Amino acid sequence: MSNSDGDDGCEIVAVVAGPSTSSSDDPSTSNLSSKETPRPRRIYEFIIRCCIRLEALNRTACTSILLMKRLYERQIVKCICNYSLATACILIASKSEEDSAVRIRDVVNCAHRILNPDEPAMEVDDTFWTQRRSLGRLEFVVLRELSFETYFEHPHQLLSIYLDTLVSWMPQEFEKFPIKDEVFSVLRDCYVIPEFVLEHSKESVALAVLSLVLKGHNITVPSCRDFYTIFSKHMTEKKLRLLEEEILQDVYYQRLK
Amino acid sequence: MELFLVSLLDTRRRAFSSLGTSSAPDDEKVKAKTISCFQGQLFKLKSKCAPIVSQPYRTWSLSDSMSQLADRLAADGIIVEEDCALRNPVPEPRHHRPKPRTHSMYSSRMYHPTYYGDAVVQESCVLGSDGESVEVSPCTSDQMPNSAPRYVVNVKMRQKPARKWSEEEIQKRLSLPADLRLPVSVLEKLNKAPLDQPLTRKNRRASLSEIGFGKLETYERLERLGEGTYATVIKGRSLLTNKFVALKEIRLEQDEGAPCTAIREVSLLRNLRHANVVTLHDIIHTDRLLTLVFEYVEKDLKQYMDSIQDRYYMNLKNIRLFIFQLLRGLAYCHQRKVLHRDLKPQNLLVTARGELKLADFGLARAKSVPTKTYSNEVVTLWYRPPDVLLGSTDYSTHIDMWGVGCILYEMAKMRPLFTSVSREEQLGFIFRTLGAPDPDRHPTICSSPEFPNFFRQCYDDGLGQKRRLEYMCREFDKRLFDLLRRFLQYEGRDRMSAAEAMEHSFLRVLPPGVFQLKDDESVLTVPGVKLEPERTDESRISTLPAERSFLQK
Repeated sequence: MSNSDGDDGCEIVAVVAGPSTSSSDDPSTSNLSSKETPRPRRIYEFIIRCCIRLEALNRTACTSILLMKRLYERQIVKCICNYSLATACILIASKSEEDSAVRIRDVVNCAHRILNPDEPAMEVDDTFWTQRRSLGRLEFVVLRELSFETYFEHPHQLLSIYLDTLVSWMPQEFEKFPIKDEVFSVLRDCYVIPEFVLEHSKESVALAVLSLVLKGHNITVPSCRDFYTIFSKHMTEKKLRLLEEEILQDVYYQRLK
Repeated sequence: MELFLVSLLDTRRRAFSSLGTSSAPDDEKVKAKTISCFQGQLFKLKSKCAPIVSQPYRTWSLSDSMSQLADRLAADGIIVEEDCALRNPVPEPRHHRPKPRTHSMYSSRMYHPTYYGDAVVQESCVLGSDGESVEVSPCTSDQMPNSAPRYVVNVKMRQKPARKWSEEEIQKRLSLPADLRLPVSVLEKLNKAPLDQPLTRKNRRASLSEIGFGKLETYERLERLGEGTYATVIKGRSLLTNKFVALKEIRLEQDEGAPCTAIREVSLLRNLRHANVVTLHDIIHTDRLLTLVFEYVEKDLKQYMDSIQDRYYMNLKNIRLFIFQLLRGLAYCHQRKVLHRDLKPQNLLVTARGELKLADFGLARAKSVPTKTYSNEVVTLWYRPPDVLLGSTDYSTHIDMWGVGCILYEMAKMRPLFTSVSREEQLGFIFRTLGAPDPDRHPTICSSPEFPNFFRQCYDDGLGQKRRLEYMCREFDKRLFDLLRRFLQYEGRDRMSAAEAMEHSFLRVLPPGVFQLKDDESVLTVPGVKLEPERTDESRISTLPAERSFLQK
């Protein structure tokens, strides 16, 4: 999936929960090496993929990723299957974002389909019910681990405002290209590098994404090439270009040299 | 919208294999790259995700041992740790720190911020906070859930006054409020452990759990206070502080896990610390029940109004006191981008001293993306603004302000402003009372697709003038009426915000000290601000008996 990873084969670590793993404060008791644990990025991609299948809100995916990111700062990721944690994060995010489209049953099914693409869809049997029940329980474990802190501020709102302004300025371009949808998809993709989203200001992230998509369609904002200076006083061309490069390189693995 | 990233990654190699080095300037390079990205069908939306994973996974399941672990973790209890930490700002290593395998006393002392002096802790010497042995200390374990064997104080060991880990110090160390009564068993246990080592997160949690946080047994259930749609509220008593608490018990549907209202209520409340917002003390999660432990407040505003002997008038000073506190709490929430969405007198708690606290944040939500359509079923019908009744989804802080207006009227008149059973009736009441909306001045209302139907149906009922707000409020204090009018506006943007309303001339009468309070300071700490006794003749809004008899109808 990524350049460095080589092929797409991915070793998932089954839940290794035994007596030893309960003492989550001591890393040495966990017998998982970093080799076996999937990379965070893979988990984030899994979340995005799952959310798309669930037809969840864009924001739900973003919140789940940030929840997961926060779990990575804790010891719990060393003792509980990361994919399970990610699934629980999706569940929590959908509830905290009021995304009523997402139900626990669909989440279990989706995760199963994505993680086991070669297997038939899940039957409604004991295994299914067990997974569903344990996911409900894991949800509480995660909530407790996060001390019920599930609220994040995303750049979406700002991006909507920017888009709204641009639509009235250049309606034809917006009719011709699906800019709105693409902008939000690119923004969601940026969350595979949560650090990128968290380290930069919301304005910077929103503008970089917007500018990148416009450039992709070879659109210039009519009679206002440096539109970004209107939206944010602190934005300069150089800074914007750096951010764009960062997205292309880190998120989409495009080498620029 | 299909997954972008997947499609990008899938076709990445194809699209970019031809791209080599280019001599264009940086910006051009970015641009060229992106354009080719788009042209290379990377942005084509796929209907299905490509299977990325080629090998079947060994498992994706939460095994039984997982469930056990979950049980164990849940049994430890969920602790809102910041709760205590904020109240008692003792420097405390709350974050996890990798624990070295072997600990020399010295090294650990070096970086432990709560290191107290250099006396050696005597494991067997347990003393109460008053310097006496726990045997005679008032802190007994009698009503404690886990009655531990009493500890025998070893007098022999008492060579120097080694009162190292008294109750007080443990409270400090665990960042607990000072009024807790610690069980003897905990004191004993904590003293046995080498306490001058840094306190890990796990240890702290374990200690807190042993003290009784996060345990259902810690709270004695007394009587049922009320029942909501998703929770039962029970009066209880905390065995730790011996104070009353309100236990909000949320039934867990096994199917969907934690209810979304509960998650939101907790995640919002834990970020709100304000004298006019109800405090969440503890969260307890058992298999079938999620219990939120709140501070106990004697009455809600509805009960307070019902309890006033003179059923028609409330002391104007108290109206001012309550509305100011309501605005103060709301201004704080709105500043934190939290809407209450369900304001009504039943959700405003009033203490015996006259403090007002916002409660029931189940429907509240942190506002974020405006593209999102909020659910329409939010505010209780009587307190719902007309734009929401007409199906507007443009929610902002102004939806709460309409409710404030209704509550203000209700306090002044001692009965609700609009009482209706249906949406149609409610809108009819509103239009009759406030007059017909004007298409120029109230575009949001008038442009609503449903507006014409309602307007035709329910505008005129023959009562005419007597239904108008001006007539209904003719005996009101002028400034109170002006404030009321500013809340009851058709257009959301015309409604006065909570922060602005605090500056209104009706409230400017309050001592200036109330405007300079910190978030967690109660208005009642300001000299001269207190709950006035009700039914004092001189402070009535109106004293005309004729009007009273009119109101009685």
